[in-house]
Amino acid sequence: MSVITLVVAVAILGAGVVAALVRRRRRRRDGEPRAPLGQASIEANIPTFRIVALGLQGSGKTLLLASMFQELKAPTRQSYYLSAPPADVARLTEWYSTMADTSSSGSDRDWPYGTAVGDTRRFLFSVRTRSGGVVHEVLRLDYLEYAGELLTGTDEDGARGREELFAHMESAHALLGILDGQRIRRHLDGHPGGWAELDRTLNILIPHMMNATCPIHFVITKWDLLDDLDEDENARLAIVRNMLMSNDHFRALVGTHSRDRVVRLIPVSAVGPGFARMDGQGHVVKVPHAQARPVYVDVPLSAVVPDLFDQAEMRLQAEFKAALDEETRRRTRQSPLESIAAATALAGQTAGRALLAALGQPAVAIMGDVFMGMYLDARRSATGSRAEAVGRELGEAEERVRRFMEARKRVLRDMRSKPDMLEGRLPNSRLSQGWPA
Amino acid sequence: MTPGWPFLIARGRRLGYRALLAPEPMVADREYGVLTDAVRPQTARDRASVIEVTTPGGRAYTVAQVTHRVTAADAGEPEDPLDEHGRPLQLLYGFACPRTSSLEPAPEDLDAARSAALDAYRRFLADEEGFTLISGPAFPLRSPHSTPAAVPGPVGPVRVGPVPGGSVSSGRPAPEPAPPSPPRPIPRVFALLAGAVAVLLTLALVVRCGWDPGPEQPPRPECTAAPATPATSAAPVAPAKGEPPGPSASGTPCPSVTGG
Repeated sequence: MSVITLVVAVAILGAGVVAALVRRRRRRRDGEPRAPLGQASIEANIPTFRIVALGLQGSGKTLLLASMFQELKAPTRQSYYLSAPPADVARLTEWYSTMADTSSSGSDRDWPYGTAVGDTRRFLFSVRTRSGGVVHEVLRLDYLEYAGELLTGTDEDGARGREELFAHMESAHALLGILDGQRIRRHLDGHPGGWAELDRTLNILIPHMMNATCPIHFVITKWDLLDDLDEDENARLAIVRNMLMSNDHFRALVGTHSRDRVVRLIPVSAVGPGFARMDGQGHVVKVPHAQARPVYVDVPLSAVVPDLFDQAEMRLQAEFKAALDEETRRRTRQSPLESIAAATALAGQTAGRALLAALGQPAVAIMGDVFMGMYLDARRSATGSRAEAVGRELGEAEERVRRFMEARKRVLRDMRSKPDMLEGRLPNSRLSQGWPA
Repeated sequence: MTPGWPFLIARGRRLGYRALLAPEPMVADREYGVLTDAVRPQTARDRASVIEVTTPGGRAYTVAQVTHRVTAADAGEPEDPLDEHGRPLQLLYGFACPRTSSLEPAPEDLDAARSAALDAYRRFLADEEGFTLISGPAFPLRSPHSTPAAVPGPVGPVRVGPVPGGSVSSGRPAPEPAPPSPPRPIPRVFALLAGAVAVLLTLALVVRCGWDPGPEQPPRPECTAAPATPATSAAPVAPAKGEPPGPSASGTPCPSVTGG
């Protein structure tokens, strides 16, 4: 037997083995359920924004959180809604129910207990929207719930919790300074020590917020307790705003942050007007049989997120394109064995050589180009009937990504409209005119 | 005798949550903060649950804790006391003992702890700003328990929560989240491919260095011949244009395995 004959025999045998393996691998791959092309990139591109509400104990952080979730758990007045893990949903619902319950008597009519130092926990919310029967997760919010005394304590108590809180603050994407409406009320009522309490709050919050480079806003909780300051809500807000701006440090803080962006003063009520009142001892008590109707509790998040998104958009866009490119490349690329078979076939043809030489890396300028580039790239490596399947898969992926981008755009538009509407109604909610540095 | 020490964590009408009564050794070592961090309110009121904590200094404790709403009788007042915001007050009390592998809090021990906690809390309510932490003296533990375990070396405090999707009533350390799955190993097909390439290379070497063609072929030249040795005529593939000459063409000694 000649050498050539032997080599040819080995080559034929090898080719047979390769072909069998390719077929087997393809069969196995086709049988596996796979996520649709583009889905992994979409999921990898969902940003998480860390938001910290800075407030002392009793300022209303927990009830604001519970009420905000209650308002946003369904797309009632906006296209999006908040989703959370079942255990967190149960906890938030329990807080809200306890708060909103005025039908029972005695201890059942109490407010929820204050958050204990050991009760620090993170809530991870998912902002979602539905379109065309598909649920799109648009972004995530990482919200820290903690005991307000962690901000003021200095000794052994809560050392670990404090450490966690400060770490969270340092990496926060946005800070919300929580001002207790009850304390403001006590000050405006001329309560002895009223101003000292409020001043203490500002003295704790201002240093943390002064150091922040992220967006900041202020939230006045228990807004319903200030209802009788003035009939006109905007005039009411002006009273509070003027009182706050009379503090040099507060004014300086607002001025510093206003160089980069708008700073807002957002009044909120977790329970709404007529639900609670202050008794003779200064306690906030529920009005029997009143119904909770939260006010503006969805605005703080809406004021923060679009700004954060604008800041991150360029990076997100670039990361999204890169992820999509990689995912498509990985999905449409042939296995090494297929590549050998295809390259042998393609390289043997003049047209194939020309095609390989002509096709470079796809230009990724806009999304359409990404898919065109991917399509050509995929066709380059796909052979036979697979090219058609790849083309179809890419077409579906393009549609999937387009729907996701549209959903995200709609959510952001809805979010932007909330602080705009508040500003239209309460022009005093804008503490400063933001302009680029 | 295994000692137990009472503790109390609570907030007042004005002041926030803090340790008001803490086990004597924790106060001495200024490590009572581990309790404030680890003890959290339980949904089930007035029922004991057990957690474990380890102080930054390495002392390991088993802790029996109870969450209790402060009543008018507890405070010695006509109505249930509220904080300045109108919220109810609660006590997180109980006792700590050296780490045991099992502990069933006995009512007598819980009563002793509650009594010490209420005494401390009344004093706190009477003068929140002037109150100072009370060092809880040891009492003989009556709760059934196993022999105290050896104190482990210094490690960080046990984190009792948050435990995603799980209960926080057990102080056993929450399992670390599973690490991200490692990158998938190289598919088997790559190994096969590598094997095929190796076979082909071996074949090429065999072909280039020589092949025992059988009796009709001339005798095979020595592979390890001197540079002057001419290339074998059996080499089936001539070097392509621009490629470096093959090993046999350059006279480089072949590996001994090529011998046929």
